[in-house]
Amino acid sequence: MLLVAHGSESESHKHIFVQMYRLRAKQFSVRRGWRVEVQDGLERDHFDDLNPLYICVLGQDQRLLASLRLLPTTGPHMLSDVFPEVMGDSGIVRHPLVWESSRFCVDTDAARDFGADGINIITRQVLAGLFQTMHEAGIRNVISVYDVFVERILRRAGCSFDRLGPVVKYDDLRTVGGLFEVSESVVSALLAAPASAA
Amino acid sequence: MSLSEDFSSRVKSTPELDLETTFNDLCTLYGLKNITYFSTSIPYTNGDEHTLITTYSQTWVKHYLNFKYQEIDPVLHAGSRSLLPVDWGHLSTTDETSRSFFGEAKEYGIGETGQTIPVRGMLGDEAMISLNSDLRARDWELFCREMISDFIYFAKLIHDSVARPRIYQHETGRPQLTKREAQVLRWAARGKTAWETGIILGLTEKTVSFYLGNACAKLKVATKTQAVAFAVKERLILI
Repeated sequence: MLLVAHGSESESHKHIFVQMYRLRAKQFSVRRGWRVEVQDGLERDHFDDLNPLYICVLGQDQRLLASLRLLPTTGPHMLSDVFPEVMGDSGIVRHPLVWESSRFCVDTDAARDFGADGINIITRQVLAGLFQTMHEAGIRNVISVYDVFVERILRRAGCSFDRLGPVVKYDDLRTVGGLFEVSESVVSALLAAPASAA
Repeated sequence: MSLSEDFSSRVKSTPELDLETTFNDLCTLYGLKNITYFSTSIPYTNGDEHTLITTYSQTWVKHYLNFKYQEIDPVLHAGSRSLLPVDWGHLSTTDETSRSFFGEAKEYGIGETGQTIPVRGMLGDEAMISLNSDLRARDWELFCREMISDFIYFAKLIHDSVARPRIYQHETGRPQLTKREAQVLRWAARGKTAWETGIILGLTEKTVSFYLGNACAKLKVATKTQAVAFAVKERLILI
């Protein structure tokens, strides 16, 4: 099941939000060793205080399987405030029809099913939720920083994107800023999940 | 012409544009009943300073404020908690208070359908733009599906012209285009399409359009043609 909720709704979805901050701590701090701030096993930063929009995939018993965070580029966002260098010559983006996606994570312990195309089914679901939500809202582009190694997965899942700047190294991470197209055809490609490999 | 393009050309050609009159003109031209701009948060003020520009009747505004309807207004409530446009038809209006609110609004000549667009700036400034209509729910929904991106961009342009001069006082100088924005505008000024510019610069057509869009947003215009005209006039690019 897909949950699209603002930060302002965190009280009514408390159980989901706590799972999300915990999954982020596990994925970003423990597994990938990013220097993010974790308190009581929960990873939160000040962008979470800005009432962002979250896309979550829930499994049985309301278990969170994947989530990501969206902010309009007209306001504070990570590519303007935290790592503008990945934007290269593009510079900082301030456009009401361009949103930024960040904190993308999938609970790889729970989401173990892959489609015939080798794409994790939950990864596909959260991407489809992202692009469908943005498309219905009239948004034209999503920008995001991602690890170079996920580029192939995103492409194969049906995303259409270009690199905006150079590959930048943070610690051992090779990251790049991407410009993603939001369109009917991208949504269709993401929704057209191939049969399970199982 | 899109709502955004029309509005932008009025702002650029008339220095002290009267917004209420402009909203009225645009309502007539684009089949809307009312347009309202309301700033919900302005940085560096104590929080009770708001700007309201609206085509609603004086009597409704007075009535609304007298009865402190800002405390029960479902549109204001939903709009201030959302980043996405809020369609009035999707608000939960099952409770008595909301129902009587919309009932009264109708008596004061407010259409039954509408869309509220939240706007967020980079310094904590926030506003809402409401577009109100007489269309029936189904027709309004189809109209919005067609127009939603234009509405959002229009909302940004209004906020730019109302709040920006007050909030972003350090922006008095000329807008600074990034290297890419200046490049794509220069080629556009020489008559190249986005596709051709892409070939020249080694970028995809979509990326070129993205940079053109960013340049437009920065120059507070809605189209490539308007951006080129403004950039040339202000000598931001040399052809």
